[in-house]
Amino acid sequence: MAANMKKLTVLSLAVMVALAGCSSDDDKSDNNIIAVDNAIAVGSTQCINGGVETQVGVDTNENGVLDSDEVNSSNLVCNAPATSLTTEQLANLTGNAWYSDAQTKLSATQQANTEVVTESGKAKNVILFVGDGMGISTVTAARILAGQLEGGMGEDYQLSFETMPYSGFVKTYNVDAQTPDSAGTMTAMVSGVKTDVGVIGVDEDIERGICSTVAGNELVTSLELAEIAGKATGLISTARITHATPAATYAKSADRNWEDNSDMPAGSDACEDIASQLVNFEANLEARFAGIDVDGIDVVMGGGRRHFLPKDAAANSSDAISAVEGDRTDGRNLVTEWQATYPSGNYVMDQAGFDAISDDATKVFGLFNESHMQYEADRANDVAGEPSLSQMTEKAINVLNNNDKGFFLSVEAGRIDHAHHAGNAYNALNDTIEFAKAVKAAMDNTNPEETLIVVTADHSHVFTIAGYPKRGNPILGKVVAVGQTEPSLAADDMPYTTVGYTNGLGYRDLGDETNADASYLAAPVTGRVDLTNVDTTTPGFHQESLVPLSSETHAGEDVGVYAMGPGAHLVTGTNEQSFLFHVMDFAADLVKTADETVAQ
Amino acid sequence: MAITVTLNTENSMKTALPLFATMLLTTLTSTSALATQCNLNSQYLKADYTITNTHKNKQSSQILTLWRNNQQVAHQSDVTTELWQHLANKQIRPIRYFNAQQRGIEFQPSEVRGVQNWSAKNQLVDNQLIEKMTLKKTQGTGCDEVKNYTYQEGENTYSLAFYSQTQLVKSFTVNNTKNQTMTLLSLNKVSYNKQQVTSQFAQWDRFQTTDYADIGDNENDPFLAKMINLGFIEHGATGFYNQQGEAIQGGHHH
Repeated sequence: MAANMKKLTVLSLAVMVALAGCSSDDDKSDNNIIAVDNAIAVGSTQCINGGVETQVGVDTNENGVLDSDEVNSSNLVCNAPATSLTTEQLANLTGNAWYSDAQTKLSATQQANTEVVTESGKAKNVILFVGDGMGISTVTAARILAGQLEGGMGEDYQLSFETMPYSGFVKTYNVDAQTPDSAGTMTAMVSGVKTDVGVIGVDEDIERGICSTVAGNELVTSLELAEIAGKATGLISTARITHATPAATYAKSADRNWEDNSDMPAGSDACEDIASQLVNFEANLEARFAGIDVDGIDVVMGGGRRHFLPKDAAANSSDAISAVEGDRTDGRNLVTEWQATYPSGNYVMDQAGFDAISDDATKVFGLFNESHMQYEADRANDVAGEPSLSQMTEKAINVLNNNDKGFFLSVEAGRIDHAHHAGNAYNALNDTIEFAKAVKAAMDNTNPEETLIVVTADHSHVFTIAGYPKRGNPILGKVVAVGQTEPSLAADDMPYTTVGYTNGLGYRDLGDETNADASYLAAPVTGRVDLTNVDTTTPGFHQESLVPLSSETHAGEDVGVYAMGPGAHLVTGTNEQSFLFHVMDFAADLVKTADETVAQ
Repeated sequence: MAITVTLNTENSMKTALPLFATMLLTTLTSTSALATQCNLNSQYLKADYTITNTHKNKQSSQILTLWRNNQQVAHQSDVTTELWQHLANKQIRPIRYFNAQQRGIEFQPSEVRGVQNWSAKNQLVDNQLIEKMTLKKTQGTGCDEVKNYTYQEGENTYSLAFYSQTQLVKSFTVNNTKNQTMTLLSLNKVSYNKQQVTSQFAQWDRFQTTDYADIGDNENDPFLAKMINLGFIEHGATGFYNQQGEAIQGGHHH
């Protein structure tokens, strides 16, 4: 029986007789027949769509109410399923910002889909952004940190590339490795072929470290195809420009570590070191493909001077950090060789030199550090000063835009990976935020109708976002639960941070230290540390880890890929990493145009 | 009066000033000034030390060699060698060499306070500690001048005998009465053979090195994989660090 009798009706005698179907022998009884309609709520077990239950009985105690023991019969009438929703029924939805925001997003997505250019070759320009080690948890945490740095709660913030209309997943494994490295992954992205861990620009038939296995296994990269097609080409990294990710765009090497001749084992004379391949790129490419006439990579900016300079203190730069900056033992100075090849080019090694580069420069070669460039948070400590990733990206686009045929540009945030290896989330996330700024610079300085921008990572890291922190809790802070003001305690009665690592060096508290690599002095920390009085949001805090290793490791799960511009609609679903090359090729007709050029 | 000055030390520091120079000095300077003169070039040296750790009745010792090569200092022990480069901007750039493997790990100049103290690397005892100590007596002259200091901080008693001209520790003791521990650093032998010094640094320079930041990307390298899995050998060569990884000399590190 319905619980609430909210409607009581004393029926007329005629109706009562009809309802009761009995004689009028007992006038008192007949005159006190009562019928009650009870509304059934939507969602009830009796009627899922609501309805009415009518109860009939005699008010024997004449109190004017049909008590439960006076009910003689009941009749249940359930509502039919609704065929439409009223504005009132939807008010709780449509008046909610989450709902309306999603509707707006839906409309925008629909509109974008109607504008998709499905033809190939519509991208004049292609920009590939790679956040080295920027797994999905890194993107999430960086998003929250960026929002919190701007005064918000963070979770709802969007990094620049998260506003792009298309995204998907990328399977990162190498041909011979479940958890990959940058060499094999970047080779897949720029050549369209998955290969072994640790090798650059060659297929899986290579034997790592064996020079003689290189010949015949070389791959062609999107940068090389763009170069052959007559486009401008550019290469930027905050790591050494000879490091695995940037190297995969221009070099062929049996080992990622063959960055200069001194790194190569005896018996490797037939192979050219990576730095030399960069400086000789134009000549090497013309030698590989008969009849082509290319003009070389137009913009190169990153770190790694040591691999271009001879092992001679006389060749040191003004901000050398070693007694002898150069590592080359063959006596070559590749910087001066580059300057001889491109006499009108701009070689720069510091912020002042960078600032002096004009947008109509023809060739730019920037080597801003002896080894890797600084972490973004540590950049102010650079001896001679160096540009940020976003500054380099904008400058590169301005220079590359001088080519009417368009350009191919590869941009890597190389030090997200290094900060994670050091177990330091602060620098990993801040470099990710700077990476997002670089993407924003590209979005702001290119025409979306003719520029494909692809943003992805080469692999992930064992970086986690854990616990149940309340909304807006500092992402680098300790977990404070919903409704609480003090940190939650683990089973060991000690607080714990939201972000952490599955393995690595573990806890260390270096306070305002902005260089993530400064953590080396102590061995890995095993076990938990009491963080009660530790400010875990400082640059020098290194998160706890479960498995003690001297260096935190890559992770094997998928990474995200985000895209906008012609061909971006192909970036969807879960893909092999090598697929990304084919998206870029489709968008810009790289193979087709290069092939036509060679055939001419 | 013609004087031949031979600078003798009990640690085989023997260098004779040229007679002409000595005579000239005798003419031009006072006797007291001559007494403080030391022409040894202590920018290039090799100093062999023994570190002895005593805990109650147990004693252990290890060998440490201090190398100076102008703006580079190395602390060499059996397993590792810590090499420190003093940069023009006063930052210190460390390199850790693994002697048997002939491999090295290079680090960026660190901003970590306490590690940035060049005197602690160059002398093994921090100048800031020496400044806090009380000078008890001075013995000898010229290169043999030894200043003896003591200092009490908490339960630690520090005693230092220091060749002031060459800025070299003769002996350094940290005694903790409560824990019944004592650490003794004592100089055995020192030589100023520049050629030997530069040759040794050149040998280290030929070791294959890897950036610390690159270790995690090189797990296929057996040497680096071992480091990834087992961890660094903590605290390097000197052994003059406490359990927190801080240099123990002075207890004032930030």
